[in-house]
Amino acid sequence: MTRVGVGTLLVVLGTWALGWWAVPVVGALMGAIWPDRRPGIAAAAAGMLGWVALLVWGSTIGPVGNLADTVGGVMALPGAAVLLITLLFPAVLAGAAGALSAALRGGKGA
Amino acid sequence: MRVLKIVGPIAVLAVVLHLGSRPTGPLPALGAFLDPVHGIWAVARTAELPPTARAVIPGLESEVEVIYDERRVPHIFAPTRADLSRALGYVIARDRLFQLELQARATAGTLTELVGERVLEVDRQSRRLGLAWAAKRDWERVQNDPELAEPLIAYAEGINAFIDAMGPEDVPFEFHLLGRKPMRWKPEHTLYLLKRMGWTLAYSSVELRKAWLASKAGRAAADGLIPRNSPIQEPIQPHRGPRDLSVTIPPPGAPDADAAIQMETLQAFFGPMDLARDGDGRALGSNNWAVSASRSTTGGAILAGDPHLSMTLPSIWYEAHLVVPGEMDVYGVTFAGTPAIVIGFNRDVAWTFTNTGSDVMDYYRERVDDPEAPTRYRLDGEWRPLESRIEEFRGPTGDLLAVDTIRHTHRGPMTEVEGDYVSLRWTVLEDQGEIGPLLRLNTAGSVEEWLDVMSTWHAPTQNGLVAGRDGRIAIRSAGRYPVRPEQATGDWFFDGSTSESDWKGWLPIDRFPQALDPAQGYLASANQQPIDPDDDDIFIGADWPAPWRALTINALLRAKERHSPEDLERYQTFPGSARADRLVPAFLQAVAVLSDRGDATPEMTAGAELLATWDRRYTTDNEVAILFESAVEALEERLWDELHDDDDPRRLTPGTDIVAALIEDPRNAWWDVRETETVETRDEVLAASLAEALVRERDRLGPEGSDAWHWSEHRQANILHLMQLRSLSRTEIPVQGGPGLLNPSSGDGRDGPSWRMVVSLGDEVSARGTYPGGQSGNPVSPGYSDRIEAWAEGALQPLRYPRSPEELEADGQVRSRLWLSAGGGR
Repeated sequence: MTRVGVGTLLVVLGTWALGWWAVPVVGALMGAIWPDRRPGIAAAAAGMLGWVALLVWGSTIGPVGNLADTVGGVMALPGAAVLLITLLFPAVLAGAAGALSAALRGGKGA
Repeated sequence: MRVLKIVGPIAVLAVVLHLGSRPTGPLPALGAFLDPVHGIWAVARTAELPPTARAVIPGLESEVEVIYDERRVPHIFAPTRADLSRALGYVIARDRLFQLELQARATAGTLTELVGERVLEVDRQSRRLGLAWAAKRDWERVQNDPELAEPLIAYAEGINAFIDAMGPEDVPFEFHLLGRKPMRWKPEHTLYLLKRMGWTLAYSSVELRKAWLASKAGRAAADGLIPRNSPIQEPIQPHRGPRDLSVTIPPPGAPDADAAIQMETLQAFFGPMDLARDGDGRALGSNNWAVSASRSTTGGAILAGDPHLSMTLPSIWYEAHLVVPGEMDVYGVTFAGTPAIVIGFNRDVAWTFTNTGSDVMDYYRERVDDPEAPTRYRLDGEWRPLESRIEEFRGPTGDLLAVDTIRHTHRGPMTEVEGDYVSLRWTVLEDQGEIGPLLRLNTAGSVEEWLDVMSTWHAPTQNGLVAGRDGRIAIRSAGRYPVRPEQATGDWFFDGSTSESDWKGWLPIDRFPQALDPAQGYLASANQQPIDPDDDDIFIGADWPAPWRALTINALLRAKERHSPEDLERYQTFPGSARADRLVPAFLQAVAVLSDRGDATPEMTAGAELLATWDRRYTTDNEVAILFESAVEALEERLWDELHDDDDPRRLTPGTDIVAALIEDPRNAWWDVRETETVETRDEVLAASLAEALVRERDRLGPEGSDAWHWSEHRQANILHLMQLRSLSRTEIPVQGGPGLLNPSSGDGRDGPSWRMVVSLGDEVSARGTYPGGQSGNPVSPGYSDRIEAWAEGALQPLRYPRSPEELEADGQVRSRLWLSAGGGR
């Protein structure tokens, strides 16, 4: 739990400061530091939770749900699908990066 | 196994990184797009204006306070005109940055750089016409006139200050979608926008429409169907009430082959003919009217205006109140990109415009030295060099898409179709005379001063209506009217080989259609022919819209001795129709004639019975308006059958004022339906059209009286996003409007009253207004489309016109405050 929490925090801070490129970097970092216990899943969870936190923060300021519907309308998708894609993207990105760096380190869980 | 553990994540990572960093098909690069802090989600954070904000505009001379009222209208209080322009630039960028860029690019012909090759032909047309080329030439002159240049430069500084300090939440939705960053604003972009307005309002080719008609039915018929003088007269310059001219529409003749060539050539300039907005469906017009103190209930003048333009989201208009204490205190609507109020009021005058629609473009057949690669053209027996410009078109990544060479004669740009060369002269491309008057109108202190300012207006020609605090009113159809060679009317091609064909100068102001303090105590314009030919027969145009709106408003203004502001507001959506008043009796009379002869079918009788019950109102729940419109459509199909080919889907339908003129001429050959062996009479055609309409609508809608017959089911407003994205548009909005009504509604519902305003002048100014949209360009802001509901109902909203920030505050009307300074934190 701790590593997912730390990873989530890093994803939040990294995305804030550097943008989406921080997500694979944090994922890779997690895989390198904690290579032995399902590093891909942990990194994916951190990536997703980090962006969930940022979206929740955004929704306290503006109409994120309405925006999801509007973006979905442009892309011929339901608003929920846009939200889902937004969360799957960092999850896959961080997860793949985490799994890769763990494998390179020869971690048992990789 | 270990290899798989490495290769698998690498493959997944590569795919996701590719999708994240590169656009794929229509999708933007997903990483930057989906990023919750910097991507599309950031847009939600600026949906609402913050209660307070601070911002920096380098170069600002003093602090400027901007207070947004409850309707999100910025009230800008600035110490100098330059600071006011900077602040206006900043606030317009804050609300409408994407619109600013899209409009500028549309004029410049650089849309491909934003959205790619699919708009290449649109860009080519813009460059062929030379709108940006002309605007740049204007800017070279304007730069030398500080009075004109400084506001444009300051305005650009304001826009660019916003762009430079922009956070991800300030980047408009559309830029996120396109994966692009906003371009910087140049002062000349304002001039682009004014050229664009010229394109919208003065880009009407009588020549093209006439050529089309002549190619089907000969020149004489074309001259009759697009007459120089409207067959029904109710001009802008007051005459003696409405009257019908005695006209005979020439019968259809043999197709004119030369006209067919002319038409093809003109389409090279105009693009494929767009006739969807033809006939009475043309709703790109406007209304304005005013009553003087002697005809108002308030004791002061009252002015009403509603310019009809394409309705878009965001709207073409942006509402603002601009104050420089002691110098300027003006309220109204501005175009995004213009540092001035275009339609509005100050403490002394109120004004509004309708389009005159005069003919300000002519075409010249040119002879060139080498049809393959011309370098010279023939004029008065000598070869003259052609001016050339090379136009390069680039895509979003800077890749070269196409290169065009545009050649100019001394008249203007030249185009070629199958070896034929034609040049265009158009007032919109000539030296600018718009930004100066626009800036000066804002501070006009009297009706006379306002008229003086408009005497320098060039294009597009506008029916400017003004009312003063002293209770007076005036109207002037202002702009440059070309004086053509003697007897020439400017609606066919000229011979370019002689300078005798050139314009001889401009019509003097004393011959403009105009009136100051008319005895009748009111003035009105609705794009009708501005002056009765009995008063002045000089050619200033043809192809005037049918004057139904003019007849309606003049009748309303004549009907009462005194009018209140509420009356004028109500008239803007008045559901009565002068067109129906004129045509319904003709249908009923025709069925009566056939009944007397024993020739009426049951459908004709039933149609007439139903039509006779109609109150001739286009209210949303009206159940007979659809029958009448269907009958008019069926009538036009029969009447104009000579103009239509089965193998050509394009249609050009003369106005219903021409139909009205033909109704007075029952033996005219146009009444005969070509495909039948018998020769039809007027009454047979009218009655058959009504019967066909009844049968058609019963088949389509079920028995009359059902909800499907309600007018609101058939005529709706469709307000599309600038990029025509459906989820960002508001469509199928029921309106109390229709063809030829004061509240017009075109077939596709995309044109209509783009701003409505009623201003009551006196010691205190009281005004109401609204437009179909909202102040914000952010599609998830409540301010994006919050005015549409009231607009659709025809309701205007009170416009706050405080003398000071404190006054607005005391009214409890403050939504947000913005302090602008030259330095410090943002």
